[in-house]
Amino acid sequence: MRLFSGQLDLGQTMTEAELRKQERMIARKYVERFPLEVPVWGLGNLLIWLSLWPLVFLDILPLWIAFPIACINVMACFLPAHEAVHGMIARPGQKLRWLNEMVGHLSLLPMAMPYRIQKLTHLEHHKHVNHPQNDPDITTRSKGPWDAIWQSFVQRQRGKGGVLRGYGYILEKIGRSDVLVDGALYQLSFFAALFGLAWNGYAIEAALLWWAPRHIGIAYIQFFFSWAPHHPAVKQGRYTNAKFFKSRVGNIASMGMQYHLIHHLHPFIPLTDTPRAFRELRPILEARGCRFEGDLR
Amino acid sequence: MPALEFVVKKILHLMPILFGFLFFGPLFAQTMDRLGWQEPLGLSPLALGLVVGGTWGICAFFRGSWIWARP
Repeated sequence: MRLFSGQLDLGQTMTEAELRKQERMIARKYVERFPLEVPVWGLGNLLIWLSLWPLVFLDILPLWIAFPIACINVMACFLPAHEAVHGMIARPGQKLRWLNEMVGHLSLLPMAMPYRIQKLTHLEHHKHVNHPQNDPDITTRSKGPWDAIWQSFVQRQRGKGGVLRGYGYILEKIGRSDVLVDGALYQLSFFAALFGLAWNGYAIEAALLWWAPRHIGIAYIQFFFSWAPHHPAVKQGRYTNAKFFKSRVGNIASMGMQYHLIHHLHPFIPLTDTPRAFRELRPILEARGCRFEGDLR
Repeated sequence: MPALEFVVKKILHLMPILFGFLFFGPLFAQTMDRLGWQEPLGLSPLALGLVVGGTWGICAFFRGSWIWARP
């Protein structure tokens, strides 16, 4: 209903150019802030995850407490790197660009995911959202929430190309297959660390601090970051390739993805500002015919 | 890039088998130890872990999947 009234209000009173101008003016207000929370979150999360290892090895922290913390660490490591992908801390040529890139590289370590691969493929996702051949994240398309979780595990099996499935194809397509070396080195290092720990008597610790949290975390990230905001992942229009939705687990637990379309429209708005930007942009978004599921405020 | 090709084609290609023996093997053994299973089936925990983990890894290598669903 609000969508319809919004369409009436703005759609009838403002021209296309005016709508675009108004949208840009609002978005610009959120772009210039320095997102201090991104390096604090990215590096702090990494430090917490790293600290779990000596705490568990020295019997200071029980493994059954460290395991869920490690899972949260992996789940939380992706978003700071994602902010860095979009140059949120500093754009190319700016003074703090080194910090931006450092956060990108380091925060992804618990996930054992190379930043350069993440960066290049994610930017392709932005260029080709929901495109059956060119969107590297289209592999998360599935029938419903349970199928999405199941497919996350099925799709990362070796026969489907593993965790980096589909990314090699996209990187070759854009002429950047050179960064696949990062993927090979990360995988080798990850497996070598697991093997080394296992044969030194720490197999259970390695499994519950890294191997299992990584699998759980990847499923969680793919579910909330990729599947939930794009489902059914068919429409490719600027205002329809993602949706606004009310998550049952709240905004924080759903990685702030209730407002994911704001990010696609204006990738330079920091994640933590997208709810406020959404509330301010809402009449324009309604006039544009965006999808709203649930009572999102 | 010959070194990378070697790594990807040989080592990563064989990773399911390596993972089964080198990670799941000791993981199962240490889990059995923690659970107090001494000499299960008359074998040492590590021997049984290597049999179970290695078999699973070989199956995963040929099937292309660690789980029963085939991709």
